[in-house]
Amino acid sequence: MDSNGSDTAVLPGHRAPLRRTADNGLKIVVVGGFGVGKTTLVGSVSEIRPLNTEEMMTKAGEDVDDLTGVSGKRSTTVAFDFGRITLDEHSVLYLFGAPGQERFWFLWDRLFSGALGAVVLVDTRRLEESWYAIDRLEQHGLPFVVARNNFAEPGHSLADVRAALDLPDHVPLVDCDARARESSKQVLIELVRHIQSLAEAAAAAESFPEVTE
Amino acid sequence: MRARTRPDRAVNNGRDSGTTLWSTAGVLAGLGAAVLAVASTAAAHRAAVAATAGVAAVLWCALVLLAAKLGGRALRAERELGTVQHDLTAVRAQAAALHTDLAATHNAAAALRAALASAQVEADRDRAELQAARVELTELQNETAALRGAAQNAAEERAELGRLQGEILPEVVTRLRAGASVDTALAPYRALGHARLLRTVAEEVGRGERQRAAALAVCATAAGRVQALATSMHAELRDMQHRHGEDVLGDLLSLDHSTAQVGRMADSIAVLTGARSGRRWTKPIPVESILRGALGRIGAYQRVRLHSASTAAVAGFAAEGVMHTLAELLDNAANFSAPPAEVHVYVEEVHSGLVITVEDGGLGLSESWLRKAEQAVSGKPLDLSTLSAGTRLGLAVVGSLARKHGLSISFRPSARGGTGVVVLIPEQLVTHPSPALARALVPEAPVERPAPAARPAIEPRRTEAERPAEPAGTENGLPQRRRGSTLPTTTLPAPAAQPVRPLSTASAARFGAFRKALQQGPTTTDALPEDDS
Amino acid sequence: MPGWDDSPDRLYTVTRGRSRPPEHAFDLVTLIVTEQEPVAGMQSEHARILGLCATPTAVVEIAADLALPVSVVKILLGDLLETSRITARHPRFAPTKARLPDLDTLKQVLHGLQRL
Repeated sequence: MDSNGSDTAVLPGHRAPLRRTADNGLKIVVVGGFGVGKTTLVGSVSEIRPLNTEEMMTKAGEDVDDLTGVSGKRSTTVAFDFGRITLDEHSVLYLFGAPGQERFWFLWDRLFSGALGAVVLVDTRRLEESWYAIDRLEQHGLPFVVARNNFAEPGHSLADVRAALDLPDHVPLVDCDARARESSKQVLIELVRHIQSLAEAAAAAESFPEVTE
Repeated sequence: MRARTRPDRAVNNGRDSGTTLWSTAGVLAGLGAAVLAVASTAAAHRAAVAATAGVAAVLWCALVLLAAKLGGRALRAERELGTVQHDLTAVRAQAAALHTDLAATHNAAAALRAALASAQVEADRDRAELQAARVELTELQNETAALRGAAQNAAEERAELGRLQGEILPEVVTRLRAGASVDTALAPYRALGHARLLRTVAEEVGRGERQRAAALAVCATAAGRVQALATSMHAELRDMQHRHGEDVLGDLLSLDHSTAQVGRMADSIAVLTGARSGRRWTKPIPVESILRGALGRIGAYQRVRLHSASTAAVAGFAAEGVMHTLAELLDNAANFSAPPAEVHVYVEEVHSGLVITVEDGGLGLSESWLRKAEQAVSGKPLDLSTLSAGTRLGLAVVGSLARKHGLSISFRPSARGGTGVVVLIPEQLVTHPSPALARALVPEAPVERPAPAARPAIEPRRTEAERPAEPAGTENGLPQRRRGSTLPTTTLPAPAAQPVRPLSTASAARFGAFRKALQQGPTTTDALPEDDS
Repeated sequence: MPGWDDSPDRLYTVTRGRSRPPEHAFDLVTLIVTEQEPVAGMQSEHARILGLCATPTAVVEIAADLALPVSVVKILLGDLLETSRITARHPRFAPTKARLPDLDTLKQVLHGLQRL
């Protein structure tokens, strides 16, 4: 389960406003299966407490007299949550944590559109939950890295995980601790570097058409 | 007859041979004849016959004895006998004549007797008839007496019945309608002459009243169910509106709108059947939300224009009723103004409360309609039997709600040409935000939601359908992914490992919607292969 | 602000029946900046957006703060943009499948992350 213990002190009411010069929003998507730690990763690097649409969902119907009990208890559904990192005077990076379930793919497409890239967060105990996300990303052509969130001492080598996921060699696969800011930051840096290399390769391909990725 | 012949034979047989013998035989014969005559005669005439016979016998005996005593003087005697015989013949003739008379008398007597008997029978019959007639007469007399008595009673009772009909029954029925028990309703009239009649009627009315109440209760229960369903559908729709993108948002909003109208219908039935309103709000609802909550419940909400700068709010307990009232009035107004005419809503804060004016762009309504409408919303107790369909129903709902919440509603010609409805929400139902909150409503700075308790983001419960199929394992125990295997696609060969996902109806429907959305908006994503699942 | 579900407002009354945001007008991370103060009588959501966007605020943040679906927020933003009450600062980089981010942008991002 995701844990946002460190966010308790950050009240949304005190959310720092962006600089007036901010004019360029950027997106990175963090996808993964149920409870793999997406929100934790977003929260650990975000300058604001991750915002989402979940709170209001759980409030639904609280103040409503239940006439016959027909409605019962509704399940809550998170659309997505997000955090924010001010990069410089102009650029603001938004991190979106997207639920890994297949039924949210429509949401991913919305999020993927215009995103720099994606982080696929996996838990080796439930590796198969990442399959759908990886398939979607491969299909979409969005650059991504895979990060293994280690809640405990990993029982498998990264090579085992890469093989199990059938990841191409050029797709980075890293370990991380989503609770740790530095570790999460490194995952993001890994992603940007990966995109950089792809972009460089693409630029090179434009200059030298025979060189392909 | 024999008595007459035997003396003849005795005379013929022995005048010479022996007078004595003859005499004896004659006496005996005479006696026998007499006896026989007497015996053969009917008892009734026995006396007469016996007398006659006796006379004859005595004469006979005397003659015989005389003949015997005189023996020798037979000749003379014979002469005498001739005389006597002649006399005898005369006597016999006389006897015969007597006898004939006797027979005649006998016959006459018999005839008389028969006549008498028949007369008696007739008399008996007449007497019986008379008796019957007398009985009948008595009965008739009794009846007449009874009728006369009844007529008198009826005259007396007519007066009482008049009172019963004119005063008592209406009063009793009113009490019963108001929910009083039969006993309670009848309490003041126990001593009345028609107590039983009154009770019968009261019980009948009471029974009818209970049936009516039961029918209303059934309607109210049904309305409550629909209200609850509409509320839960609204919540689910709200949920979906947040989850889904703009591809389906339009459909969801349209469903939401339909649900709101269904909810209003149920609310109206609830109001008319005396049930509770659909929702209760535990906090004051700002005027803007009151107005939008109202117009969202009518079909033509897009023709309604709101003009409000009020920051006031309506007390939570009354908010639902006020919204319902306004919804009915807005619906009326929209119905009176044919598209594209707009309905305008103005809000004015006054010292006695909040005035909301609904103005339609219709042709204006007749004075009589306005009067009727005002009558309908005057807040008088609702009488369902006076209702007809359509707008009157809506106004009846308005009237009922107005009475409940103390709203005053008036109709007047609108400055815009149509009709204006003015609703005054009394000040005790109106709250005004603190200056700080008022500023927040038109904020200078970001207004944040209250800090939610920090807690892990709740992710959707994973459904069975979404759980990947039991993966094929690798040597090191990790499940082996096969590229693209999770994508619903026809371009990729469907691998054996393709999980067979039993789609629930709901998720299948969702999938259908996705596919449809995809087909409509291929630019939002890369062209996806067709879904074959 | 009271939670959205405590309100009798329905979304179609908030959008006045519209369900489609203006085409391509806003991205999730388009930054919105208020140009004119809210005025009395304005729809409360419009007023709140103008309040929020006194400093640049992303569309997705507005949606979270108003507890409204992003699509609905985009419709409301469209109203404000049309009347010039706001300006929109669109992401400079809007990659497509065929186009990767430019190297300068990536360098900026990398530096920004490394400074964290």
